[in-house]
Amino acid sequence: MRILLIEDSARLRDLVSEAVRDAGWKIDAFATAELGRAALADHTYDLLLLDLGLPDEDGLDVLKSLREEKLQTPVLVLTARGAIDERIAGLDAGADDYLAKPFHNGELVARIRALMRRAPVTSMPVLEYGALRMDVASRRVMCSGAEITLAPSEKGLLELLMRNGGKVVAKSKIEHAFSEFGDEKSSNAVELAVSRLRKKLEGHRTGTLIETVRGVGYMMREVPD
Amino acid sequence: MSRNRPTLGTIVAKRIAFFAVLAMLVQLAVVISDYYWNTGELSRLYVEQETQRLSEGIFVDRDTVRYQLPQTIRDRYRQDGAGYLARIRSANGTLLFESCDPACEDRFLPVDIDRPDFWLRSLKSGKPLTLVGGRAFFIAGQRFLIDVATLGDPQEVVSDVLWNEIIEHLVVPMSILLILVLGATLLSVRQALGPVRAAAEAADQIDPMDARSHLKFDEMPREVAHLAIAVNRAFERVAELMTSQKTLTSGIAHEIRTPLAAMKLELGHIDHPRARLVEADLDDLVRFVSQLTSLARLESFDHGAFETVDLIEVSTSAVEQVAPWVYENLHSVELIKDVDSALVRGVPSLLRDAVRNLIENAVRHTPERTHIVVRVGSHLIEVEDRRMAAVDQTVREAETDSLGIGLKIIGRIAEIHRGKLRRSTSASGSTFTLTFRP
Repeated sequence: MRILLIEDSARLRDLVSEAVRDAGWKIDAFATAELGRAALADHTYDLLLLDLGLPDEDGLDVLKSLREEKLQTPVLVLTARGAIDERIAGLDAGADDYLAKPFHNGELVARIRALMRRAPVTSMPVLEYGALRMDVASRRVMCSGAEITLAPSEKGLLELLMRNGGKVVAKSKIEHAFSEFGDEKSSNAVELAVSRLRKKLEGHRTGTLIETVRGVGYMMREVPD
Repeated sequence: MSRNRPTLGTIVAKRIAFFAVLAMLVQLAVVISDYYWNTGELSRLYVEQETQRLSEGIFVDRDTVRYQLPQTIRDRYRQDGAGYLARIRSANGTLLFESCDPACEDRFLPVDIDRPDFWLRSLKSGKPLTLVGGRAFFIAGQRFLIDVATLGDPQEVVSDVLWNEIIEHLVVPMSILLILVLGATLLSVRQALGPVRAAAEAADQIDPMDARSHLKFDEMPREVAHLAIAVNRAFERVAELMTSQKTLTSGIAHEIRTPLAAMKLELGHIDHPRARLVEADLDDLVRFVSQLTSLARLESFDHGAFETVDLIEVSTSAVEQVAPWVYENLHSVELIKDVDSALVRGVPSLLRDAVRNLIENAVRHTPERTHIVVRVGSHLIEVEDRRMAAVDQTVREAETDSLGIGLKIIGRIAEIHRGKLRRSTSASGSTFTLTFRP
C-alpha cells in the first residue's frame, strides 16, 4: 500500500513517515500543496494524509479541489485545529476521517487501517480486524486459521462491523443493509442477527467484542486477549 | 434597563409644565402689581364686576319685572352704613332695588338725564376705593340702569375683583395655552422620536454576539442616522475582533499542537514506563490547551451561525463519536429519546461538543462499569451516570473541583444558546441537565 503525506512540519513529516513505514507501508512525503499535487498527478496512492495548515494553500481548499477533480483516494486529515466545527468543515470538504494533533503512532496506524477497511472492495480484498479475517470476494470468515461458518446475512453484518471497526454503526444503517441482504428490516431482526453473530464468534479467540450502544447502534472493537 | 427611568416625553412635559407655571407666576406678579398701583383701572373693574353681580338679580317675565338681591352680595346691600350703595332702575325710571342713604341723590347721576352706558367717578383718590359709577344692561330686550358706590370698600370687594380678573384673563387663557402647547409639543416630540424609538427597539433586539448585527438607518432623520451609523461601526469592529480572536486561537492551537504531535510520536518509539507517564502528562496538557482555546473561541462566538438543530441528532452524533472511547475506558453509554424530535435554535457543533464533554466528564469522574445515560427531552439533554455502588460524598466534592474548566465550557455553550446547565446528585450518581428555551 502506498500513502502520500502532505505536511509542512519537517519533524512531523519524518515521524509520521517512520510510523507508516514501520507498519509496512510505503510513503511519499511532501511539504507543500504544490508538490503534493504534482505527486498525485504522477502516481496512484491508496491513501492521502493531509495537513490543513500548509504554507502555500489552505489544506481544506486543497481537499475541495481534489474532490472536485474526482479524486477517489481516501483522505485522512491531520489537523491541529481541534475545534469540532473545524473538524466538521474538514469532513464536509471531502475528508474521510480526521485525526487531531497530537496523536500516537498506534492511533495513526489504526486510523489508516480503519480507512482502508472502509474503502471500496477492490482496495482491500481481505478485511482484518482483531484476529478476524474476511475474504470479501469468497465471503469466507477465518479466525486464527479456522473458518467460522456464518449465514449470508451474518456475514454481511460482520463485514459492516469490521469495515467500521472501532466505530458505532447506527442501527438504521444496519437495517438498511439488511434490506439489501433481502432480510426483513425490523429492529428485532437486527437484534437477533447481532445476538446470533455474537454466539458464533464467542467460541473463537477473535480479539474483538460487539458492543451494544443502546439507542444508537452497535460497535465492534478490539479487546486484548 | 430600569422601567422607572422617565421617557423623553415625560421629561419634556415636566419641563414645559415647570416653565409654564413659572411664566404664570411672573405674569401674576406683574398683573397684581399693575392693577394694585393703577387705581383708575381697578375702579373701572370694580364698577363692571359689581354691577354685573347686581344685574344677576333682575328677572323679566313677559311684562313683569322683579328683582331679588343675589345671595352672595346680600350682606353688602342689606345693612345700613355697610359702606356699599346700589340702585337699580328700568329705562322708564321704575325703581327695582335701592340700598341708599339720603346722600345717594347727590352721588348718583340724576334720573332725568340721558344716561351713558358706563360712568365712573372717583370720590377719593388712592386706596381703599371710594367711588361711584354705573352701567347699563340689556336683559330680555329691556334696558336697566345700575348704579353702585363704595365708601372705603370695608369688605375689600376689590380683592374679589382682582381675583376674578386673574382667573378670567390669566389662569384660564394660560391654562388653555399650556394644554395646547404641551399637547402639540408632546405630539411633535413623539413623532420626531419615532425613528429613535424604532432604532432603540432594534438596538434592544440586537445580539452583541452576532457579527451580522446592525441598525437600519435608511428612514432615520440625519442626526439619528449618525448615531445608528456609529453603532454599526462599533458592531463591525466587534465582528473584526471576533474574527481576530478566532484566528488567534486557531493559530495558538496550531503552533502548540504541531510540536506536541512530534513529541508524542517520538515518545511512541521509547519503550519505557516513564515515556508512558510523559505521554499521559502530554495528553493532560493537550486537553488543557484545547479547553482554553475552546473557552476563548466561545467568548468571541458569533450568533450568526445559529440554525435549527434537532437535539436528538446532535446527541446521537455525540454518542456515536465518543462511544468507542467510553467502552475503551470500561464504561457504557446509552441514548434514550423521550421525543421524536427536539428542535432548538443553535449551533450543532457546539451542542455536540457540550454533550460529548458531559459524557467525557462522566467517564473521567466515575469508576469503571459506570453506565452513562444520555436522555433527550423536548428542550433538554440530560447526562446521568449510574454507578454500580453508592457514591461517597467526599469523592463527589473532589470531583466537583476537578471538573472546573470543562464544565465552564459547557455552561458557556448553554449560555450562548440562552439555556442553563444544572447539576443534581443522588446516591447512585450525578445528572447534568442542559435546558434550552422553547
